[in-house]
Amino acid sequence: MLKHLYRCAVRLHPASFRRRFGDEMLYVFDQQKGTLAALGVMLDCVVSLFRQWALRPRNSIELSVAPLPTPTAGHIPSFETLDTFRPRTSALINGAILALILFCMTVIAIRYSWIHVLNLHIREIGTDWGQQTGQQTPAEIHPSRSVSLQLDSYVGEYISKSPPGKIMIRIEGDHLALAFPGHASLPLSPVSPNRFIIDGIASNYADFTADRWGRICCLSVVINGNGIAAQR
Amino acid sequence: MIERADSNLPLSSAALHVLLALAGEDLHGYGIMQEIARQSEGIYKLGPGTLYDNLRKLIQDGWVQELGARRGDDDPRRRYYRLTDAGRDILRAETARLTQVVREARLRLRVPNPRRV
Repeated sequence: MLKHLYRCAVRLHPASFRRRFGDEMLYVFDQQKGTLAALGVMLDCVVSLFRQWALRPRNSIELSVAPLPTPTAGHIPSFETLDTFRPRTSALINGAILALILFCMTVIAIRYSWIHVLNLHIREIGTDWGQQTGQQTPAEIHPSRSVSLQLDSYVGEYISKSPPGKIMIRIEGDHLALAFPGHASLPLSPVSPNRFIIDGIASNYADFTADRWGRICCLSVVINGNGIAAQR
Repeated sequence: MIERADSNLPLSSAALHVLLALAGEDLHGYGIMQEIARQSEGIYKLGPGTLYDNLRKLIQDGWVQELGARRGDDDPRRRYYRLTDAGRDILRAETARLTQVVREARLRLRVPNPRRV
């Protein structure tokens, strides 16, 4: 058992050290008489393991001799190595893991940041805004795919408790539409990231509320003075 | 040569004992451990991890030469090591330094003569 552990400890040494001295270390272990002596060698091996990885990082690399520059026409070397240093394999693995973690954190931060919610080009989604100003329409400015993706965040089924019912928000063409079951859908015109006017009537509007992660979670509809609160 | 060796002094205890063990004859790793234990009368014992860490440094410095396995040896895993001339010079320099230290220590620790009345 102890020999098996010792063999494992030897194998955990840096490759260059293990290749050069691993067999001899096993031989030394085989020469020990008694459990106490074997334990002493085992302890020394564990200390050596720490020493080789923590205190001798450069020794774990077998530095290769830099190749001499190859002279070519005009005596200009075609290749020259200035430094023979190569990072350790473990350092590369650690760096890769760290980079992956940072990448995931960045992706999550972009997905759930409040800036993302405010970055909706609400005014550009409007159907008649571009025509009124004589400027380019949103579809000309931004790809339609990009717009539909932003509108997707509002789309869904919202459940109202009082009165009990469902409110559907969906995309129709290039705009959002609100629909009650069994009724025709009503177009929504954005006035702000959170407020949409229903069917072009200013007194009828739908307010969307985002949670702390920036996801739309609540809908408040006011039609003809009557309010309905619904949750996604 | 001694002057040039001074920059590498003092040696660590392990390095000194390894060089000292190899000063007599070529030895393999386990032989070095046994020789060190014998020379220090069992007071200083070197583990294999410490030994081979020091051996590698000594080989890199050119003070010890690796000879490899010997034909007809009991165990083919054993590799032999030899003290080089540079290693011998270093050992001489370290011995001279230690001699100076011992001389100085004896002078300082000498019991003062009783004052004659």
